[in-house]
Amino acid sequence: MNPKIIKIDLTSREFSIVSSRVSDQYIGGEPLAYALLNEYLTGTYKMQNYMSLNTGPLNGLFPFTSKSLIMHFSMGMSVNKYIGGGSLGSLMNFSNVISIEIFGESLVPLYLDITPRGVSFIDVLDSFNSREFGLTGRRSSVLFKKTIISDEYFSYGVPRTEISNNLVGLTFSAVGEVPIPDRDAYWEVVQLLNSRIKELGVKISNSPSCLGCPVGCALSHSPESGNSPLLPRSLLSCVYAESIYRDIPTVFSCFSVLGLGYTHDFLESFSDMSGEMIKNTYNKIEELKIKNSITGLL
Amino acid sequence: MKRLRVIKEDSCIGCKICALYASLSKSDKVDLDSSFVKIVRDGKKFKILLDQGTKTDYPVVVNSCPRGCFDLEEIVDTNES
Repeated sequence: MNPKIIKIDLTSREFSIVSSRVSDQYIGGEPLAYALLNEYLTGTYKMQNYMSLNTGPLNGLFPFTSKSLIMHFSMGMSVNKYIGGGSLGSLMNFSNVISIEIFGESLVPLYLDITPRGVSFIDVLDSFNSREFGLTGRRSSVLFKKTIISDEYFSYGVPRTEISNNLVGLTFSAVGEVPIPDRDAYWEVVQLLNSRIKELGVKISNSPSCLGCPVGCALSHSPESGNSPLLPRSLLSCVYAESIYRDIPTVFSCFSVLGLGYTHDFLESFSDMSGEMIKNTYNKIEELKIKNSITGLL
Repeated sequence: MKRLRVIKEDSCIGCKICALYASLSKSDKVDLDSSFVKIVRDGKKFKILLDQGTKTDYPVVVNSCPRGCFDLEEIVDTNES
């Protein structure tokens, strides 16, 4: 079953849910976010705000893979990435939603209540309370304030450019299920990963934990820089678990027990292929900058 | 007869691993909707909600919790007496 992408237009207050094969090639996370941006720049691009919220196919199902990535492409043509913890990425993955793309801008402050089946557009009035939205025990919220924060605790950092789309925040609720073809094999892989907890660069603590992570580290609320290799960045694994999730046989085992068909050869060539696509995306942005400066749009 | 019991709710770090394993214990799926454990945030702490209207005595759920929040308690089946 192909993962879904929820496309939301803030200007017209319309949404669509499409099935996509982009994860076949770019798995998820940062490479997938760039691939979607690349697609957008190639196809329907017009001068407007663009944002995407992205997850990976292992998110929440295996320990230390619980981050999500917010990509913002500003009107000034800069790409900014924000990575944080919490439960958003996992709940999206449990719903087979690999990305949420948000286009345009609202005239008034707006909040989105999202499930894999639909989107409600809510005007933010004085009495607004984001806790009123979502499904109990399977909701995640993101608020775009001075810092981007999810689940009232996990920071994605301070926006480096203004996100001028009037989106105050959103709630995502998980609906759906992830089939586990071989439960015993799955548990075996999970236990193996848990046994590598000492490889993490953080200590076990009692802070609120990201979904699926047994560590509860004191740094769980901190934003991540996203400077790890492309394979862990596609999985949105924790930066402190980089040594685990850049290991191709380990990642291959995780995919195998979920019945995902990524081959060993594919994983070997993944970084080169994704790196090329990301370079191509930046080239496109440079071309658009030149075009727009000639036509006076920038 | 046994059932799942919360013994250390204050220690919960909100990782929801128990909720995942609870759904996986009953089927070959991860599905938070059908899980008999739900974790909800309550200020700076977490609340653990159990649906006791179903079979809950899965050791894997007890063992999944990294902070030891659960055990299995013996209950008397009044239908047997």
